[in-house]
Formats: sequence, structure tokens, C-alpha cells
Amino acid sequence: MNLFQILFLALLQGVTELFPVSSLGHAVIVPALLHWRYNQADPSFVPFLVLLHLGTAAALLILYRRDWALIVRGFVRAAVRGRVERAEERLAMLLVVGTVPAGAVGLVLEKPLKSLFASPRTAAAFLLVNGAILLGAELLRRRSERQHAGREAQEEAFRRVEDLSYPAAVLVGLAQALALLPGISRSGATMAGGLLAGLRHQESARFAFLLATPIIGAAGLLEVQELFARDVPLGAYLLGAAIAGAAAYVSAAFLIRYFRVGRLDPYAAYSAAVGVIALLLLR
Amino acid sequence: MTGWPAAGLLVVLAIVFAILAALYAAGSIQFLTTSGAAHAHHYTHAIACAVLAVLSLVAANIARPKAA
Repeated sequence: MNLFQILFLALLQGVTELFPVSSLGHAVIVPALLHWRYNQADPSFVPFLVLLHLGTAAALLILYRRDWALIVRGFVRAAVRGRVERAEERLAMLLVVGTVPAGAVGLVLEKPLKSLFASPRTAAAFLLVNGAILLGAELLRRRSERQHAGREAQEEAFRRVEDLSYPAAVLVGLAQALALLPGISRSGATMAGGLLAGLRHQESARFAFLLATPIIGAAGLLEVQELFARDVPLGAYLLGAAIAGAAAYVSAAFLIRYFRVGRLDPYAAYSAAVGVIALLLLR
Repeated sequence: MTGWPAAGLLVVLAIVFAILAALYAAGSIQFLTTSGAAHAHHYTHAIACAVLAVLSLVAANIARPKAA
């Protein structure tokens, strides 16, 4: 990859990572559509994407720095005491319970899933599935909303993250595990799971962003070491990670405001449209 | 899931994860690793198993009955 391609992919990843449209799917499909000739099956490609994800994780850590300080303190307090008492302690435990399923699936299915990364058509098909997941979650949500109420009143009838049950957190974590498939959005799948568990849109986005940080960190731990063992332009990769982080920060700030009353519908339509167009063009 | 049986089960789970972590770190097992290279040290899997061992202990501490 040349410098322009690296920086383009970094910006693309940063913008699409937190929007529920699958950054990984875009990172596989867009270069194929542009006929960029580099080997996506190269062992350094996935670690490059993971480095971009680490930029995103850093942005989320900065954005939620106060939450994370409370969560870490809450986890240690509850672990030592052996009892969960406060809201931040419960949130810490919910994050642990929600993170383990995706981490376990990632470790077990790492190899077969990596081979899928090399196929833009597969990613396009999964992007179509992503659209269906988002739309399905919204349709189910609408059935349990109060009719003829304002959007803010409708949202207030649902839960905050701290009120989520542990089995529901496992469900959301399992939904996050779907995002190991390129084309399925991590934030989208997690948000869809959160909506099914009765969270408000904004709270399901918050939970998705908090859940993303440890799983991305774990993925980074698994892959980034390979970057240093190969002949890769590490300086350009790190610049790309910084660009991805900055773009993710702006995206997250926008989405948190958007989901105060906004829905997943536009992202479902976008995912489905891009999936169909990519399938047609990538014959 | 609370009480002494649950706490005991979680402690056993923690011990199993700790043993797996040691075996991965030593390169004695390659189960579910990407490379599967003989005698490779799979530190990432070792770290994951160690984290799961700690989390199992935390869960055991939370699950055990508390004095009122």
C-alpha cells in the first residue's frame, strides 16, 4: 500500500468504525471497488486494520475517560468486596459479562474468520445482513414503543445501561461476537442487541462504545505484535491510526447526540444499499 | 447463580484457566491457536486464559454467601 491508500483507509475506518455500518467491511470492499492492487490476504493487512482500531479505541478512552475511571475503580471495589452495590460497579460487571463472549469466539474462530477477510464479496453479503439486523431490531423496537408519543418520551420509557440484567448483557455480548465477520458492524450488532434488551437508543450506543474498547484492545494485543516483525511502513501506519482516532472521536460525539432521538433506520438502508451495489460491481 | 456450590465451581474454573495459561505460556499446548506451530509460545492465549482465571475468581468471590 502507498501512503495515500494507507491514509485513505485510516480515515475510512475512523469514520465508519462507530457508525453501525461495519468499518471492516468497508476496508475490504472499498479497495476492491477502486481496483487497488494490494494483497488483502497478506498477513500484515489484518494487523494494519487492528492498529487503526487501536486508534479508535484510544479515541473512545479519551471520550469516556471519566466513565472508565469510575468503571475501573468500581470493578476493583466490587471484586475485593465480593458484592456489587453501586451503579458504576454494576456497569463494570456488565461490561465484563458482555466482553467475554466476543473474546472467546474471537480466540476460537480467529483462523477461519481471517480467511473471510480476503473476500470482498463475502464482506458485501454480510453488509447486506448487517442492514437486515439493524432494520429488524428497529422494527421489533417500534412494536414495544408508545404510539403517538414524542420521540424523547418514547425513549424515556426504556432502560439505562446500569439497569440492564446480566443475561441481557450476555445477549448483547453475543451480538457483538457477530462483528468478527467482516461486513457485520460491531456497534450495529451491539446496539441491536441493546435495543432488544430494552435499552434506550442513546444508552445502547453508549454501551456499544464502552464494550468496543476492551475487545478492540484485546484484538490489538493479539495482532499488533506481528506488525513489528514484518517490513511495513510503521510510521505511516501510526499516522493512519492517529487519523482514524480523530475521525472516530468526532463520529462518536455526533452519534451520542444523534441517538438521543435518532434511529438505526438510515444506517440499515445504507448498509443494504452498499451491500447490493458492491455485490453487483464485484462480480 | 450464588451460594457455595457456585463459588466452588468458579474456583475450579479459575484453576483450570490458570493451568491452561501456564501451558500456553510454556508452549506445551497449541489448542485453538492460529499458527499451531509446535512448541510455539502463545502468549496472547496465555494472557486471555490468565484474565479468565482472574475473572472466575472475582465471580467466585461475588457468588459466595456473605454474612448479613
